[in-house]
Amino acid sequence: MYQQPRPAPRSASAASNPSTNPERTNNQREGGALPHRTRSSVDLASYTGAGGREPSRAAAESSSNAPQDKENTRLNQIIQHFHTKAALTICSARAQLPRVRAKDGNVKQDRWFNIVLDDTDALLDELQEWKRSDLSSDRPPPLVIEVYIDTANLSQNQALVIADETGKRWDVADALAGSGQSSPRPTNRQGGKFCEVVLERWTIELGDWSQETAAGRHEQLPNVYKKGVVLFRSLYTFLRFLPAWKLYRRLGRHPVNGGGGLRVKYRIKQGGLASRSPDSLLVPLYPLQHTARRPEQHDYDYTSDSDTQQHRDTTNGLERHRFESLACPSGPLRISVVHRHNSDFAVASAEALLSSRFFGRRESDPTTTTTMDPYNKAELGERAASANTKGKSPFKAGTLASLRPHRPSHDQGFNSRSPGDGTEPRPTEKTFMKTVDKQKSDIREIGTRQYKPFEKRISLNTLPQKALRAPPHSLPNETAIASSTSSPMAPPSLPRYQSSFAGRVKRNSSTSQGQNNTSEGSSARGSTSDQAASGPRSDDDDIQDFVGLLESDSVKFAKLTKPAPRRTVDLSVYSALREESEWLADDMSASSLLNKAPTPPSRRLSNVPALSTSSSPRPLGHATHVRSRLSTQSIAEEAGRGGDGSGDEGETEEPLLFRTDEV
Amino acid sequence: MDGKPPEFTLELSADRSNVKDVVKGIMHTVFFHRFFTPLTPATHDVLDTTLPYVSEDDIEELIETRATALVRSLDTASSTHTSPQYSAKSNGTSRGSLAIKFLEKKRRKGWFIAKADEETVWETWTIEVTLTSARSEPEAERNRRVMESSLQKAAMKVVTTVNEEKGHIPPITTNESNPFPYQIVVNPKT
Repeated sequence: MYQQPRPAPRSASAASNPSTNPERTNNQREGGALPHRTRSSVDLASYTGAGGREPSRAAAESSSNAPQDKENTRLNQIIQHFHTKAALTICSARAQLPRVRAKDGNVKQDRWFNIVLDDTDALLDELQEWKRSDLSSDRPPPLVIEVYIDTANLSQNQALVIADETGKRWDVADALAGSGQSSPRPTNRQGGKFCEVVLERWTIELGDWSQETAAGRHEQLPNVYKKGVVLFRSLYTFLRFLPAWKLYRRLGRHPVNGGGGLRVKYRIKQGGLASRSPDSLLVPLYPLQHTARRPEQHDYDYTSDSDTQQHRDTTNGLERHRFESLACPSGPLRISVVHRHNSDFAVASAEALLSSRFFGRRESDPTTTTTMDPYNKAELGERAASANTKGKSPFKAGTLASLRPHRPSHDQGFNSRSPGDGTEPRPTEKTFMKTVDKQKSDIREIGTRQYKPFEKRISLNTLPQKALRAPPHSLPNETAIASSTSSPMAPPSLPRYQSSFAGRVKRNSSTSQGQNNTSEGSSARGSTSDQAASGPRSDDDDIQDFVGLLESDSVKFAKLTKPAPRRTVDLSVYSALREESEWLADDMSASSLLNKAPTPPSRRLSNVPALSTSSSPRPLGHATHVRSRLSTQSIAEEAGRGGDGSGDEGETEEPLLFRTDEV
Repeated sequence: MDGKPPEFTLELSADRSNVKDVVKGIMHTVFFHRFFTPLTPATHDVLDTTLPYVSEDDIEELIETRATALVRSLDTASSTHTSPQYSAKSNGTSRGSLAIKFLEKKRRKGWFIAKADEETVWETWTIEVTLTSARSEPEAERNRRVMESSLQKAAMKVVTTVNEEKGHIPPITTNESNPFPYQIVVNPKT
């Protein structure tokens, strides 16, 4: 390579070098940091911390052994500091480590491998095993550092949640405890659920001598050190690419509000020991999509980089990364990490989370019995984009802090299941039934935001009344709503299509036609699904009705979360309505103050909370996150009029949405 | 014999408001792994990514100067559309590049006069920058995503490359200042 034919440089070389003896390191501190020398006889004097002086050797020792001993000492030091510096680098990037002061009052720093970090004594005890002086002969076990969070400091009504790529939140304690409900769950001191999630597991180790190449075994120590410099710089950099870094910074910034008692922690332990408990790092916190990373969903592809693939490996929401090993005479020094791809953790109010489960749930199959399964496994069914959209990258975009309700790259909701089944080759009855069932659930999903397990489907339209009757805090909070409303993406205008199943035998059903129930939007949803097979009507008619319903107000109002309106919005309509409702709001507040209830229609009552997001006061004090109150009124009115002229009303949705967002 | 020194290429895409930060961020990342003197690390956030930062005056100034020059040339290229060496497309993207070269001082024994140390390049990092522009919000959003991902990818490539390619780093012969002189060339003519 490049190194071989190098002449040994002269000692008293650079004129700019002030020190007379280049053998002496300028650095008097422990772990002298200037080992740059290649001489035919390796002199690693600068490695020592004792000001570069030769360590005193037993005078009786023959001089032939001396260099060997020196070499050995240096080797041991390198191995030792490799471990301890790696531990310091990792832990200081995941926790606030207390500083120590040297006797002269300066902050003690570790300068090994030419990266200067504040030293700490917090790790001293745990690192004893790797501070021995005979590491090259008495090989140390792997040094394992686990970075984790736990719920030890959460209050009783708080829960640890994680947001998946669609923004949906999952209870972490439940996921880790598994589906078995029988065993008693651990609790923290405040009586809440206790769980611990390992985010990263770092392994620092000295590999076996046999794993080292011949060249590696003869690597000269200054070269080892020099390459170690590069390794530690890249370790420092890489630590800040990982998701846990973002989590650490996010929690550190708002220790009370954002984290709510959540803190990134670390522990150091010896590797290679059989673990008593199952590895929590391997437990997925939410179901990963079976259609794993689809290439077309990537903006870029890490695997195109030639050698990155061998170092990074992604399965089950975990990523692994191995740094190139540092060859030394004792064996390869290695650093590697396994980490969760997603570290979008947050603390949620347990009540809100529970109610969001009830309301957000939907049947994926209409024939299953509705079981009260409030845990994560019932919240499946969203054909969300794969959990590993950026699977091979350590970076994780999109934290809860920057939650964007609109996820354009997701292929879910109605879009993904095209009602046009003409694509299927030869439709059999079975596939048609499946399609019908899918369509049923799709339609249900559009309107069903709040699903109660006792078979009463509540649509978005009827929500406000229910919301008023229900206690305020039972509604999911804003984040949850944002997640759930983001799920059904706005279906584009559906193409008109003819049935490709003309002449198929119909299935009889006793449910009524959906058309009769448009005045109450919910049942429109529920029963429309059956209209595909509902009597002596042709397939075309059914599908036409179906499409008609889809293009009706209810579907249009499902476009709530579309942030970028493609049409110009008719703001004048909105402002007119706003004035009227502000007047109503004022009226309401005035009347509530007077303790006299006016007699507005119940529909108008429902409008007030939404409009309270503007400057008017909130007489009812309900959560403002339930949107589209105007639509409630509109839908009710529109339904009565038969659904025409709904375009404008649909458009007024969006400015209201923005307005709410602004507030 | 020594072959041609290795050259590593990083590709960046950025919009006008972020291009300078993005380019500076990557340059600092490269220098962070090539500044062999003991260094107290610093960081700097660019586009929601934390990148290392070299708090050394000389390096900071040089990076700042060169990044400014590159951005200026990108601006000029995108406005004139005439310069042949830049692929200024009709949609307004323009390209430029930077080359970071690391050199080593080799002693040269002169017969009569002690010659100046010869400086040879032992590594080159080429940063190719594409300046994007958008005419609509969705396009701008798409450009932003591409920009973020290109930054992350480039930063990760630096980390991976420096780890894999360590054999060609020359021996370090001075313990005083930075052993490897460096140069940054804007839009080098190839």
